[in-house]
Amino acid sequence: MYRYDEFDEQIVRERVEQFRGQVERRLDGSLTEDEFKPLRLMNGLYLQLHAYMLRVAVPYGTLNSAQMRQLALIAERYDRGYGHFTTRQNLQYNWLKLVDVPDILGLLADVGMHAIQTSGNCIRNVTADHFAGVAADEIEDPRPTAELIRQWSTLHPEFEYLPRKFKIAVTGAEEDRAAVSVHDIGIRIVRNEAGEVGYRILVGGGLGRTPMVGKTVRDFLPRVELLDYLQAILRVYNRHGRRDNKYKARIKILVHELGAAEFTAQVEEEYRQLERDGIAVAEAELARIAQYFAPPPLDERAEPSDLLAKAREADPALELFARHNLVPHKVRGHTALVLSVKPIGKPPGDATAEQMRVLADLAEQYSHGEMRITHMQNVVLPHVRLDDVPAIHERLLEAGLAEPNAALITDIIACPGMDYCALATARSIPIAEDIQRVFADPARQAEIGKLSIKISGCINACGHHHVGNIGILGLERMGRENYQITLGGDPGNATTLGERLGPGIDADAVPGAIEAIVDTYLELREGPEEQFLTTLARVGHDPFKPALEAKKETADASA
Amino acid sequence: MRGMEKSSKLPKLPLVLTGNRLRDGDVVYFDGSDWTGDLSGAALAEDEATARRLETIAGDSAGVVVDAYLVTAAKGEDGRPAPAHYREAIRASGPTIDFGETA
Ligand code: HEM
Ligand code: SF4
Repeated sequence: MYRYDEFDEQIVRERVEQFRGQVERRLDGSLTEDEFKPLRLMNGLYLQLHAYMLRVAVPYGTLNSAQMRQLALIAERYDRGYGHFTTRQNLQYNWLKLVDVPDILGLLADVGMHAIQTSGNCIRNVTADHFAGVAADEIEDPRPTAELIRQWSTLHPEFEYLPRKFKIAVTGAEEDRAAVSVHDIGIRIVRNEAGEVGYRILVGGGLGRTPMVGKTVRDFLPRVELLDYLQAILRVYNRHGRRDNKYKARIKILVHELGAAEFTAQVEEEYRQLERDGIAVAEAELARIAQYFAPPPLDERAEPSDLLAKAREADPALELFARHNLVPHKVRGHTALVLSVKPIGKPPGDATAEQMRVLADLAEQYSHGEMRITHMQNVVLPHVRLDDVPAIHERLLEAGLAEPNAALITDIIACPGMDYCALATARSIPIAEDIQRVFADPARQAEIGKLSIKISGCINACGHHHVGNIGILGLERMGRENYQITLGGDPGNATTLGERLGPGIDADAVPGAIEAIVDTYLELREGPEEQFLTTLARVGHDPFKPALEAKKETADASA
Repeated sequence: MRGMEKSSKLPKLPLVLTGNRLRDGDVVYFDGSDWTGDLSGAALAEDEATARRLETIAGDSAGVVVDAYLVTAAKGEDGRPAPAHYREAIRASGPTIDFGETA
């Protein structure tokens, strides 16, 4: 696993002390809030409805047991005993006091963690496929590339004050699990006809107020040219991005306004003019970094595992869990185990300190000390022997982390919404919980099959509602919470933005409407193999429209 | 800060002055002389002159309270302020869901 080198360590320590000084000066009145706010945001510290919120970076979602234990300690000592895993593969604390934050940052630094570049108009933490280095469909582990970009972009003077925040995602697999085409820059590791590995570069994707799917600006970029090419893209953006209007400042707007062809031409022109002396460095650096991500020594083992097969037969709960939460591993006899942080009726992505410690212990014992945070707000044990699954399952049951619902309808993404977030227009978490309760029965979930619901509490779309098979957006209408439902979103290879089904509905009508949509799907699908998006593409939105109306009546009637 | 210029239009009356305490981020309300965590103890401005006085206090409080703002409140049956909007209700009473150890 990647370790910070001494250089990183020193930067992080200096930042902690610098921030300690800044907090002191804010508290004694020598800094105004206007002066202080950008400084705290640069350290990942937001002020939310009830307290300060700290966003801790988990680069490409990979972390080790010692780090997870430290996160648990901080949750216990400084928060209210829990943390929240987010769609940005981060962890957020919800209840911090400003005066404690410098000490918290110090504790994070002790385990090589920080909150730098989790906020502000800089290049944010690079995200990657959470099955990196594990997935059977992978051309190459995306994390060395992600890490190369992280090192290059961290505190890069030219890109500290971009027109707006900038998010980069990398995937090295055939199936895009990192939603790269809804990022400012999406990078796909690909192989060309000659069999060489390089990059496809997408620019200008994003969600939020103006959702856009990224456009391919280079089909195949030779590997060594990556940083120079990114530099060219960022220079064009830095020069022409709209600084006059926050809502038009993202690169997606620039790409859209110029058109993909013109934007690409400008990038290529900029690229031609760059002095390219960084290339050799990048190549050596990439090789050096890749060593840190070398897979742990896993011996091939018998597959399928007899032990697991017998245990599955004897234990229906394990059977369900194994059917839904195991992901094929590159190495025979192993699996990447998805631990659902979505127990029915609880806030999606919240984990208690106790649960974090269980995760850390399990990772240490069964997964070479390694965990991943997914943008689905779950945790993965990436290197588990199939033989060990029954023992792990038992521990997960005790810890409340054994929900057999990975990628099923109750594996809902929800942003914090108005229960925490100062920007929210409506709540998200209670809506997620109510929907989970409707579909709690595991047999029913299994019958429905893979179906994603994603919920955001305002137009900023932190819950990715645009790319949910079913998306829910919470707004306000005449002093009440009001929810818009979209159908057809897909974050993967065929990235599609969902389309609105109709007028918004009240909170208490949402679970019923979702149930009616799902019932309609079950009725119309051509067989259990036909997934929701396929049915929708075949029949269109119309058959689903009555769902909004019908359920409003039953909700009224039962009220 | 929302609407803190002198000539600015006030939110609908009655209103209270609220913000988050700088040190810990807690939700606080101005009670007439100090800041309290309890909305029902807040000073309720029912006329423009009182509201304008609260506005001045908002401006002077930046050393202890972050982003103080005036917000419309309801007047409860006991005459004390109560939230007029669901956002303020959640600010006043905390998340509407179980969380952490209680979840
Ligand atoms: C609670 C405090 C939060 C605040 C104040 C906040 C604020 C914002 C804002 C203002 C945007 C829109 C930016 C733009 O379009 O330029 C945004 C986007 C986003 N946020 Fe958050 N957010 C918060 C929490 C979260 C959480 C918890 C997650 C993960 C669950 C998250 C994930 C995202 C993502 C993925 C986007 C991308 C949308 C895009 O591509 O434009 N945010 N956030
Ligand atoms: S989508 Fe809106 S409500 Fe949800 S976390 Fe983002 S900013 Fe807050």
